[in-house]
Amino acid sequence: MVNLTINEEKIKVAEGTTALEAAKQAGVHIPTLCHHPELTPYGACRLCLVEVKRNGRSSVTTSCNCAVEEGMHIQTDSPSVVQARRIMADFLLSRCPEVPAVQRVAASLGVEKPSFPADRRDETCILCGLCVRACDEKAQQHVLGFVGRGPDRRVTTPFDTRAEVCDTCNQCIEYCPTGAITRLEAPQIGQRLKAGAKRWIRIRQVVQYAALLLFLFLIYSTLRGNPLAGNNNIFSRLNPLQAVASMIAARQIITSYWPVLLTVGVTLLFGRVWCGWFCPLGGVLELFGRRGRKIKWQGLRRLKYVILFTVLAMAVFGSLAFMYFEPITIFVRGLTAISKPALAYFQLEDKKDFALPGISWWVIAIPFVLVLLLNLIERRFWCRYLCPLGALVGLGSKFSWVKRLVNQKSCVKCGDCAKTCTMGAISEGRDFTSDPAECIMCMDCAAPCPKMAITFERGKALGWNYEFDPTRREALATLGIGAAAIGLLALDVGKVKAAKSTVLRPPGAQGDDFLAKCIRCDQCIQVCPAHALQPVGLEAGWDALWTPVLDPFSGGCDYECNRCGQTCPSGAIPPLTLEEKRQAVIGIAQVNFDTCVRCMDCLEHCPYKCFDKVEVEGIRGVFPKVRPENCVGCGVCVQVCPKQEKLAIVVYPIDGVPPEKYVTHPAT
Amino acid sequence: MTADMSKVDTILDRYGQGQRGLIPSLLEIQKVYHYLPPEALQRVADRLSIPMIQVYQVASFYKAFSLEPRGEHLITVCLGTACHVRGGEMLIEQIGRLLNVKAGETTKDMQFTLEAVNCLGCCALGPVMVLDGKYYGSMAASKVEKVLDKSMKQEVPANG
Amino acid sequence: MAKARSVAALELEKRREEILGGQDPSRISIKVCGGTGCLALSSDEVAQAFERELRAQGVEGSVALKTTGCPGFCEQGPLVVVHPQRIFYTHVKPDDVAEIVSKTILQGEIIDRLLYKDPSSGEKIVYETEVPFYKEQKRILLKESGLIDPREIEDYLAAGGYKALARALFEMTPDEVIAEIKQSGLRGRGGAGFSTGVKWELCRQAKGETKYIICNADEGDPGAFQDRGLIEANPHSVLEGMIIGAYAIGAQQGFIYIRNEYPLAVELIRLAVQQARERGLLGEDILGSGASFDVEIQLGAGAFVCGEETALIASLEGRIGEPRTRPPYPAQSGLWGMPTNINNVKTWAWVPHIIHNGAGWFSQMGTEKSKGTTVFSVVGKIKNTGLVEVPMGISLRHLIEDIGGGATNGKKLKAVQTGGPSGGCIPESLWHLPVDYDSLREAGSIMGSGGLIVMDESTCMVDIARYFLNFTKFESCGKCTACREGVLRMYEILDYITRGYGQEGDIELLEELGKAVKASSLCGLGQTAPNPVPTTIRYFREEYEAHVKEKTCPAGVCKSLITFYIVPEKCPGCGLCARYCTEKSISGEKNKPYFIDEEKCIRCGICREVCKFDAVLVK
Repeated sequence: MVNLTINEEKIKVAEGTTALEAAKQAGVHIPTLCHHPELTPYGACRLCLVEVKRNGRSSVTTSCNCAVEEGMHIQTDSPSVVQARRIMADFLLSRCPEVPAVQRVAASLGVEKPSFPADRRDETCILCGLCVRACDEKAQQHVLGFVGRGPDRRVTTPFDTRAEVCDTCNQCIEYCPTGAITRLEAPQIGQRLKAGAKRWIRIRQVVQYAALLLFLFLIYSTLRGNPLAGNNNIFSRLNPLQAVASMIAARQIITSYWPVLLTVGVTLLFGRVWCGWFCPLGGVLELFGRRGRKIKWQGLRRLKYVILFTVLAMAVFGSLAFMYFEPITIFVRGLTAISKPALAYFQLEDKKDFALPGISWWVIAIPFVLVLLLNLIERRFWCRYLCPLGALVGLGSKFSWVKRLVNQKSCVKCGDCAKTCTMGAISEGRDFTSDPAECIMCMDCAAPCPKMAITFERGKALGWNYEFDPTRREALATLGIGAAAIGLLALDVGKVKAAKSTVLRPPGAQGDDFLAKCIRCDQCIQVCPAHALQPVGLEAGWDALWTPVLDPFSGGCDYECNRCGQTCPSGAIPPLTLEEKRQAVIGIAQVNFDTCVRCMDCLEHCPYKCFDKVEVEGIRGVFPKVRPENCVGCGVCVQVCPKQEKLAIVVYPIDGVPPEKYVTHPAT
Repeated sequence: MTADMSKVDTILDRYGQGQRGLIPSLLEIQKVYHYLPPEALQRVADRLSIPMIQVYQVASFYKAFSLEPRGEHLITVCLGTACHVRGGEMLIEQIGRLLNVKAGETTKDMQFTLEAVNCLGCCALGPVMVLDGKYYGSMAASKVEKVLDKSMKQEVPANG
Repeated sequence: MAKARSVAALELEKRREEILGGQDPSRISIKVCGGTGCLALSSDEVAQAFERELRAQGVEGSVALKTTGCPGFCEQGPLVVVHPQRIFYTHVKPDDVAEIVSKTILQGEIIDRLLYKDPSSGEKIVYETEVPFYKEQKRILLKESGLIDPREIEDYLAAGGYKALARALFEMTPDEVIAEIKQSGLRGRGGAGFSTGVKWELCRQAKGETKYIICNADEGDPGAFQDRGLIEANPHSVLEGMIIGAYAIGAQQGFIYIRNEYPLAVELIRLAVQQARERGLLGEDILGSGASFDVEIQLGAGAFVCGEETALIASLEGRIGEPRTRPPYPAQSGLWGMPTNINNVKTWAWVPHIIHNGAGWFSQMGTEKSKGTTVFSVVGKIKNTGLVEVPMGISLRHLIEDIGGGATNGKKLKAVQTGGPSGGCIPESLWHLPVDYDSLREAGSIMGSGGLIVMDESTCMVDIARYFLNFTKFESCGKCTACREGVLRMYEILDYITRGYGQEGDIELLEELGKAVKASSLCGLGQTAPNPVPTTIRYFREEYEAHVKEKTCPAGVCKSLITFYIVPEKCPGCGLCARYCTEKSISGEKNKPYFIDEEKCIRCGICREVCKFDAVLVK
């Protein structure tokens, strides 16, 4: 053992210890850049300078390669040392002004700005020689070396040509303190890894855009009335939030959601890949907006859990009202709002006949437009802060097998990954790791990493203890919000529900059960060829907003069509066969003899032939009259009625049919 | 270019394996070829059994070595302190202007290479220039053209 | 403890007697300087002319012709000295040779026009011994320079060579040799001035079977050539010193690391080694003493930093000349990890003298802490430039003005730079200082290996500082931040200043950076690289301030700050300047004053150089 003094503190260290190690043992921090405990000390960066007194003589020397001696006195903070280190840091910062690792060391020594102009502002190499030493000592490849001298010194390979071994070895990368190693022009170190990382990004993009295209194609084919054997709702059926919420609300297993098992499996294996690889809305939101974090208050991320839990809590109460926040439905509604009138326009022969839908139609697109606008603030703003589906798969990702890992031994905290992250998921304050619930496994961050320190591999089992984990506070808040929301909905502010009985539901949809299952995706509306199904406003109450209703004024339920039931992912509209659908009672039509003009169009068009010709007491002439026992309320009669606006014929819900005003007799 | 490596081999025959023979053998190769051809460096690395990077490092570190082919004629101008205070820089600038090259460069026709050297040890005679091994002491910028002309005239018949 | 002399040693002594006996002191001999300096002035042609002429005039048998090493007075070369009278002819051309042979050799006449004219008194001086340049010197190391032929080992033997070796081998133990050297107070002549004896002792005491010694002849200081001069004149003295050192330290192998840029010195030291081997002075069982030692010559490949001992070792090992942190010192772990002792050429050359004459003889020369003499190469803006050897402690003024002959063409001398790029500039006002390690260090400079560059009023001190930093910038190996970046930044600031972009505060910044680089650098190169800056600032601050504040260069050197103009009164209109001007910036009519177009002028200065009327001036 050797006795020595470090800054007045006497300590004992093992023989052969360096001054730097001794200081560390004494708890004294000395800055370094060219030192690595696994490699031979080199003494190049000069940041670890200390004042050493031995045999009565004092000198300033580097502590990394200064072996301790008995009775040595090491001063790590004398004015001359502090000043010398400060200037060394200034030199290094002036050489590499843009390198965060250097900036940090310099700042810790009181140098905020470089004093001298940089020759090349993009210079990142500080010539510390760690890579050269790693190449010699660790990899034993002897490929890297310092070439040239003085100001021309640089790290390269013989004749500035790429060495083949560098494709596979890559051992030096870990040791580089600035990330310059993969930026060296000639050696092209890590390029193979980088290419691999880029290839993954490309694969991901292909998958993502294929998913988006598929989604759009499904919408298109749905609009064209070609429902692909009932699989055009696949994005809904893969959607765990829709599945869970509607099953909770309906209190039954809805088997049509079986594909969700795939999503769950993939999430447990690979994390939030749903969002990064498959979500069509994500694919759109990924196209623009600023990467990285712009919003200071990142706690906002917890909001998505609040939304998720609220959705679920309300499902517990049997309401799916908050499914407006479900991303796939937002996207579908947005697209429906735009594409349906567009398609109608193109299908019209005489464009003059085209009429724009009213306000109540367009409002269903508002959430989608908002999501797009929010994306201007930060890319994937929606996915970061709001998406309840993302929150749900995010929670699952905390248990996922593969996670984004940052090799902390290698990471130089340059922050390049955080800058590229479309989710802003990478936390600078937590060594550039990311919450598995935030990371969407897009892998964009891997390629720009100069240290190739980011991998997507098997990680530790649980991804808990991140700063955005939902807390008890959020959970409680959620219950409160859920209860309050239910209460508010029940209060039926403005008594909008008074008219509840007036709405007609799609064929086969059953009252409360329907609302418990309807996820507000409006795919039925899309699919309805006769435009009979329409999103309802507040007529059906607050909690039924944008659920589909049959609006005979827009169109009657096509006798030859059962697409809505086939399309509905949650079974809110049961998947009836055509025959069954024809029998499903939607409501009952009733002719208003006061306004009827006796054109008999209804009688002629009724697919069920449920009209009789009658004479009405007190009114002259022969009128059509519905036979209630035969009528299913398909509304075709309303659609064709020329006095539609005068309510010459109306379809009423079964339990809301008004009593007959006149007495009628079969016409003779 | 497949330079004749037999000379390199002859030189290397005199040195065993290992780093020790590196600088001496490179100096000899430099003397023969006036620069260090890449193939020669490769041969040195192979024969001495040392990593190529060490050869390349050394070749790029020391001033005596050139990795670029040099001109027919080597002009060395001393820029030692004594020559500096006596106008060595004026001398090298004048040569540079006449030949349209900078220190360390070779003329396009590969005739002249202009080199600056830090001291030739003839400080008493500064400024000094050396043209193909011949020393010219107490030079002046105004004398450069004549010296170059003279040497070229001597060269022409010899070449022709 | 004296051992009986071996047969070989006795034979060597016998041979010496024979040579001396065969010499006729009155015989005429002609000594032509063949040092690099004189060679540059075609002294080889002079020597050939002598050979031809002696034969033509039929006296080749009675007159001895010798090509010697550099006697030091390079300025006056080619030098020819006719012995035994030591008639001193300067600037001898081949055409003069016939006349010298016919007049001086055959008839004893002195040829007046070839004599040296004392620039201060204007008197012609006939004999070498009376030339002030030589008279004022105390030549010990350089004693044989110009007298013996460096190619002939017998010349060295005749002059008492290898006597000291025999004495050391047979009369002294290695410890006694070290004690003698220690006692003499010899300090390393490479510049740092560490006690040679102590250094040897450390290496001798270091653990290890194999030990090495190295002679550092990588004389990289621009403006210094004393090592070259010594090797070219008397290579065996260095070799003898090394053999004695090897015996004392216990080394079997030595290396001479010599600059590639010194082809003649390389050739001569190689020859000397070969001769020494042939005579049994190197190799196994030297002179039958049982001691073995051999020397290998390694050429430096051109890197100033290899003067630093750890870098030199790296270079010897075949690696790039990158210094490493000390300790461990080479004495503990040097070449291939073995204890290694490195000394400068002059240090080694001192060893035989001290062993032969004793420590007491040596220590009575010089000052209390700096013993002996030292060799300077005195160059720059003075009349007599060349190698001089003076006792330690003489004043700079004596050295510069008396031996150096003072300023050329009537200009005022203002400073002397010592120690090369690692040294500093000492102003004229401090020239009373004695030349020794310590007083030079106090003045902010160093002794260095002995370069002494004298500057006059037409030298810009900022430019000199810039020059040196430019030099070290490129010579820095680039390993450590302090030196690589620090010197670069200091150079940039100086460069800005000389180009007229200096700012308030630059001078203080330079001082601050200088201190930091000095304190933080890994090796001696970086630790001393800033030296030229603080001394020039300290003593010539006003010049810096003129550059920074007034954007003028008082010495008229810094191109961006000066303009050339022709004084009409002085210009006779010869047109010579216009002919030389490459930029065609000078125009005028014959026989009328010419003028310079400032716009076109690139300030190359050639007009001023060629003008015979001093009509071109700088403002």
